[in-house]
Amino acid sequence: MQPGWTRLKRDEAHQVLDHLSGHRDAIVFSREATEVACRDLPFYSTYRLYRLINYATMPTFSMMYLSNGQDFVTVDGTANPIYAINARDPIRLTMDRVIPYLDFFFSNVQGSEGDIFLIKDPQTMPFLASLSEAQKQTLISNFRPLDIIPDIDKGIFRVSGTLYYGGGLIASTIAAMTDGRLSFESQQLLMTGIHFPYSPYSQSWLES
Amino acid sequence: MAVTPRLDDVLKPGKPLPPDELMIAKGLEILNYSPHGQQLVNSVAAEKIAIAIMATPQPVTYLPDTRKAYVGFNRNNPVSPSRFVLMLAYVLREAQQELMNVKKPPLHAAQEEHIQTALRKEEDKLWYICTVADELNSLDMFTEYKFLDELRKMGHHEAIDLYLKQK
Repeated sequence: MQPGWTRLKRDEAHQVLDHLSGHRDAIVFSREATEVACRDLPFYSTYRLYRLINYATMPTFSMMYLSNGQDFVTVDGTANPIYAINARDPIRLTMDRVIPYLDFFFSNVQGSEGDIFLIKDPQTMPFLASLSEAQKQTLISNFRPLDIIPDIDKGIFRVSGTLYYGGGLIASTIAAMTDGRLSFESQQLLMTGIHFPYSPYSQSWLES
Repeated sequence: MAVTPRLDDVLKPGKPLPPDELMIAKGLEILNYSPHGQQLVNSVAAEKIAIAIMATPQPVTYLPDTRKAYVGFNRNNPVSPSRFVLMLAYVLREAQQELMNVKKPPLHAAQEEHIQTALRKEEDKLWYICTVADELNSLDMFTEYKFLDELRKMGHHEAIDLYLKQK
């Protein structure tokens, strides 16, 4: 079991599967071969992230849900489910929680150009080794480190930093509102021609 | 001049798409133009395989049991029609394998057996979708679908190169 995730006992896992199977259009999971695990999210009080892995398929199949134990919402790759939970379990953003929230948000939401990835340290960026020496130098010299500026009066956190999206590195300021909605207040293309061979989240976020 | 990708795209609530039933029917209709695809479509009808589309963060296929096949993709970043057809072929071939008794080993089987079976099944599925892609690609009516290019975009460079070499 990876750190951060707690595997549910068999009867607890079956309760989760029973809840899910009651939904119309529920995705089928084998009771015998599905592992159910959950982890806390620091910005929610009652909702947690649930991960179901069906080990009976090749390759294994996994789905994530946000749930308070009764209400299960599929994490479907759009912002909708996260915004819905932000309303049901009012999100609590602080200086310490805003970056974990952005990591969670971006690891579970895609745009039309695919994954978006917040780069905290260029030296540990995924697939760094796939870049040419010239690209690495450009990355390091253009990289904008993370900076969080709280607007206490409005309850907004502005996070400036460097994002990977659509094959490019973009300097951007992201505003995280009190209700968890995000907006990109600025964006400047720093570098193009970077292509991650597969999703940077296919392993890292699940296992962190 | 490089175009900056629009970050706001990430915040959209999903793109308008045709109804799921229509996408599945159209996918099966296209598969029917390929002899190998037609075999898959026939088994859907004969074996009553239910096909559903699910909303998932990444493109994925899923066969939880022999007669239930899923194709999943992100509603903000939907797969192209050609990829959808190939994903459909991939998961239906897997259903066909199960029906032909090429089954996954039980969970308690040795790791080596799991690995060998997984490799054998994957090789067969890849060969099959390469064949379907090649057959559809040879039809004038599907020129714009660029099925072989789509296979490469899916990461199957080696498989399609090997398939074309051995054809």
